Amino acid sequence: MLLSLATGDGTARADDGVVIDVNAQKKGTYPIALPTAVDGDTNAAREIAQVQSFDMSVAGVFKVLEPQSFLADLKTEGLGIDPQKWKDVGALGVIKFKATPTDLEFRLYEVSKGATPVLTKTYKRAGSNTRQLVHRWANEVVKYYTGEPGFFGSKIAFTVKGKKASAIYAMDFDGNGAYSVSNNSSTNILPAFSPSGGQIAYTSFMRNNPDLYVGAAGGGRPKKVSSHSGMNTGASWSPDGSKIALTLSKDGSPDIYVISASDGSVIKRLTNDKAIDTSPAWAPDGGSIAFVSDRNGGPQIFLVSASGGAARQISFNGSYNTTPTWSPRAGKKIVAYTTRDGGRYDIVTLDLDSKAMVRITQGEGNNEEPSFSPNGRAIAFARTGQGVFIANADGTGKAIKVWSGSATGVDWGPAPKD
Amino acid sequence: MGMSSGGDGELNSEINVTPMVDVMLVLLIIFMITAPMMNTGVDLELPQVAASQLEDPEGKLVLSIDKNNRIFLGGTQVTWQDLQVKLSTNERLKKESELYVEADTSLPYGSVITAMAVARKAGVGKVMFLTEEVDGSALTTRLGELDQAPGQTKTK
Repeated sequence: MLLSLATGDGTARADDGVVIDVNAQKKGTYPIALPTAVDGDTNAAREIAQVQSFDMSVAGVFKVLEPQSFLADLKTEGLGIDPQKWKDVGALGVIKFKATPTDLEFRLYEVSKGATPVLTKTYKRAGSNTRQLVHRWANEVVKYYTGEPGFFGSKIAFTVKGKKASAIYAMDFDGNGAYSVSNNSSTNILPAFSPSGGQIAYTSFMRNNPDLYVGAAGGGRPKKVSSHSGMNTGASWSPDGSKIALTLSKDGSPDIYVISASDGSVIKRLTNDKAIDTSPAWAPDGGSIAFVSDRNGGPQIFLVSASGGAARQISFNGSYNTTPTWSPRAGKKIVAYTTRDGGRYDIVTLDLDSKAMVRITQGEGNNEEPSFSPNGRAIAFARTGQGVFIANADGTGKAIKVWSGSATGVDWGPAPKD
Repeated sequence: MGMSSGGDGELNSEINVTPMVDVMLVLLIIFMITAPMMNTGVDLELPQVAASQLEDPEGKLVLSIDKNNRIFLGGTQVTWQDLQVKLSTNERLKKESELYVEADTSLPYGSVITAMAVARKAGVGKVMFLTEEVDGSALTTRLGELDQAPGQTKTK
């Protein structure tokens, strides 16, 4: 039995070109120990340890070690470390912190570099900003190791489906502090953060037609931007925030248009096809727009220049691919989208240059509407009937649920400003 | 899905190591190692038996049991009840999959076997027993001592 199990698994993996084991432990992830603080403000310490552990575990570069394995005497060590004790539990990095009612001090150690911290930060605590301070620290740690900014402290917008209506919500990327953005009793769908993060565009039926509104990301009364007869849906901002690509059906079949973000005037019609063209996604370099079209049969992902011209198909796996979104990683052309495979909906990424596909979800419910984190290392998506999840964008690890409920239309906002 | 059923595919000339790795994980492999330099700070007397030399005696993860049945992981005392969790969650063990064991020479067989059972339950694949370096004549002397007092443990 043992042999058949082993060989069956080995050959199946080798033959499956695009299938990546999403549960596989990523090679080269950096083992980091995050012991909690044992002195100072211990109530705050519990929350700090929990927020920090969550951030590090979803950063896409760390393996957070089990606190149960720790051998060090945390009381004696305080903010310092005995490197051998951490080496013995397999840690390459250790973070110590101490919270007092006024301050929050963090120290990052590299075990190979001994008992001197490689990064130290002290933040002033004020009111209830503790979680945000931990996110800022976590961004520093990610930057120290990768040279890239982290995405901690960013926000995710999504649609919450009710029985009769649906609302636009936003929350911290880790699911904390969800609040209603749309604040009306109508149907509101498809939120999109502006590049600055200050505004959210969404489609609302509050005047009985699917019109496009832009409102403050914090909520409040939105401004009607586009209200042509028929669809005004699927907004995607240009990287400079001055324009919005969306689907309009004012001239018959739904096509992709570019409008002014300020007054909604049509700047350009990008597609003109009898088929349905929808779900535009503006590339981070501003040059092109991905969208969905069923012009060749089932829905597939196409690419068109932001200045117009012929569109070309870029997705060729399966017969059903929708809701494209771009990775913000500089110098890369990576699109994530929803694909139907064996009756289920899953998230995949496609590198347009290398044509490499990576599976982000597999065998766990129906997963739809992906959106990349601001640094491109993670992907948020909706799992039907379950909530909002985030997963590593390289297909490793397991997706983590950050919000429970009936969610759809996920959009991950830009990096937070310090 | 993409599982090949054989017959029509190409011949796979690569060695399939998966079954071998599985077998390795199932067996608890035990070695005896002489470690003259090992220093975990735990005070104990190792059995004097000729064994192969440890190449890199420093920087290994060592489980020590002293003559009072106290158990130490990496020189840190842990409880017997915590031992399995400490071992099964240890990332270093997962990477190196080698646990070095040093137990006081006066310890009952049962204590060492219990530690081995816990290590095995915790998924440790390979156990290296540490001994004190000794030459052949000393071993002969020791064998003589054991014959002189059968059933007695050596005390010092």
